[in-house]
Amino acid sequence: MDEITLIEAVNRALAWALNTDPDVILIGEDIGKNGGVFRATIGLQERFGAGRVRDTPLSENLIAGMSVGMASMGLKPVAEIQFMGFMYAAFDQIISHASRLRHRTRGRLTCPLVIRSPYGAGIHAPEHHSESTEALFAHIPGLRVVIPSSPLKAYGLLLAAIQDKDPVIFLEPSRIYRLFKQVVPDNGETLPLDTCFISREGKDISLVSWGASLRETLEAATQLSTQGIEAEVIDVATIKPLDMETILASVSKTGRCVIVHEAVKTLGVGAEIAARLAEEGLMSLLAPIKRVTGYDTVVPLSRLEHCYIPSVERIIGAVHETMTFS
Amino acid sequence: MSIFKLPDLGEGLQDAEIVHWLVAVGDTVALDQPLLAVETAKAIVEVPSPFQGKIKQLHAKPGEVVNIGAALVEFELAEDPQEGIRDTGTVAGAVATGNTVVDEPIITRQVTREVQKNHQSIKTTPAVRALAQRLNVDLSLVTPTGPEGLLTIKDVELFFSASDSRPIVTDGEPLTGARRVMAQALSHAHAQVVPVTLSEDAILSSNRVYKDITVDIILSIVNACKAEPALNAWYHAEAGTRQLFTELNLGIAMDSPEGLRVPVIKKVNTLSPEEIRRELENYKKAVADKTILPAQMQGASFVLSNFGKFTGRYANPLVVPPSVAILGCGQLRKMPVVKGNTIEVGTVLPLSLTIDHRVITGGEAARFLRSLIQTLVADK
Repeated sequence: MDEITLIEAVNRALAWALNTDPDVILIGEDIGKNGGVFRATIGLQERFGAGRVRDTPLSENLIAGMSVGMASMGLKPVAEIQFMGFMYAAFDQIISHASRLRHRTRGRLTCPLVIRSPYGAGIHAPEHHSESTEALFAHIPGLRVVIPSSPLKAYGLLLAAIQDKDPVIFLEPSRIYRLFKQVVPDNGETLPLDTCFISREGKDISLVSWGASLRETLEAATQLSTQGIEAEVIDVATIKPLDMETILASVSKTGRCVIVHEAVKTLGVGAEIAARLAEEGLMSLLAPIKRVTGYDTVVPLSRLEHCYIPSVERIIGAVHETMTFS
Repeated sequence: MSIFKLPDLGEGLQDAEIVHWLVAVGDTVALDQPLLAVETAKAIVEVPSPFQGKIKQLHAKPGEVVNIGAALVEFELAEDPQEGIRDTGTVAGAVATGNTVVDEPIITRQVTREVQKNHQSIKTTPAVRALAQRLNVDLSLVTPTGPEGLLTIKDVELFFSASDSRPIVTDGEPLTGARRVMAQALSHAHAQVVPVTLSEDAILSSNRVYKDITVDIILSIVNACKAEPALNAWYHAEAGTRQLFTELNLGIAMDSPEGLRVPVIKKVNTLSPEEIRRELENYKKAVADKTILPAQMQGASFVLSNFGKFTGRYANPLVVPPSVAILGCGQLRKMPVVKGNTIEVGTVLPLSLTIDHRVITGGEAARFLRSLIQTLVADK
């Protein structure tokens, strides 16, 4: 078994799904002949044919609308939007139709589609290529938002998303597409959706993160360990619906919580987690919940990107503030 | 091997002129290291390397105009090309690559919502914890009465009122100004001086009108210093020297809200009773107004502390170096006194003299006090 990157894990999961389920169909811009902007679909058209791996015109609204149509008729479309900043053009189809099909038809139709998109900063890209607007989708009833943080998670969660009967927004952190490798058994096994993963166990403080920021969070936890602070790191993975049970259980143990996400702070998913902790876990808290996030601004261009992305230092600083509160 | 093409520099520009190269063939460059400077229609821009590796070939010369997307640099990447799907390319920007292999356990819901720590057995809100901290109440000692074992504000308040905890008026207030000086000076004095206190009552003369007892006491000190000059002196312990004075600079201890103040009446032996009273009044006002100057509180060789105007009989006043003696006056009072073989009602002034025994003998102290009392009780 070889070691593969996150982007390769995505490719293998897609290949597995295409190979084992004739209803799975891939659509998107440049995904066929070209293999995709990040090469997620490379080799798949050659292997499975242009009928199942289809290049589309440059129209995100069309891609989403076509997916809704296919899904309602029993196919399992997996659409690629090249960058999250281009997804807004597909908003109407996603929000007005994909998310509501089950509700609108009283459950007679479901919408088993997956919309994949690279997201997040850190790849020195121009505007529209770096945002983390997962909260926009998490806000919509009927949508599931899933964000892998590693090759293993990408493989297992993408296969689970494809099998799921309802629409899944699957956001792939492009910054870690090729950053590290893992041994990923290519056996079609899924990982559970709607469940947080505990990436590191600890007793002193709960660090809650997802996507690319999990790397910095884990690094912070490692450094904190040398200072005698044992942090528990939770990979939220499914942003909507939130598995608050796992987060509440962790915070009931540690009494402290720092949430780390790359998205802007205001009304980010961290705000929802903090609110739920306040509602259901107040009695456990020994210190105010802190958030380490991107700033409330458009993601800066490449030279300042590193200032925007929550750093290991910022995370450690927030942990120290929380630990010394009381 | 990888080819770096002139990236889109933004603002709709289609080409750029190579200004100069910052690297050469054979160089090993780091990620983001500037490769070259290009001039667009607007500005000179340095283009960072999207790769880490060795430069194999440069595809343009300074002065050339290069279109966006044209090959610029050929790299030999630091890592070996591998089997299978590998491409660092993206249409926009650069995706960092790494070969680190990460182990990852897949753990879900292993933590249970159980009480696992001492503090967790206390079920309460942050506001209650804050109150407990302010009142210095240990929550583990408080019995909770709220629903489902919730510890409430009332519980903390009840515990607090039943215990001997006292609310803290000021929390670690730093000493400033006169109070800080007092603390320093008296700590120093206490550590150095070897004090001996001698007390005696002065039975005032019934044949004399004491118009201004404070001035009378001061004049008696002046006389006693003439009789026993060892008490009008400075002792410099570190130098091992003592300085005797012919003139008396008398410090007068005065209480103020800011702390003890000791203004000094200079050459008090040269002043008339009226002048002494005027000095005293000036200093009282200056201390009350906080207009007293540091220079007015220096140079005392003997100190008078008239605590009796508040209350008290005897005391053991403290000598503050370099001065060597201090006189404390208690409350003037009517008392039975023995005259001859009868008991009469007399007016008594209790006196306490502290000397620094390192430089003053017991005899000198006693003779000083005797002389002082003789002057004070004389019929005039």
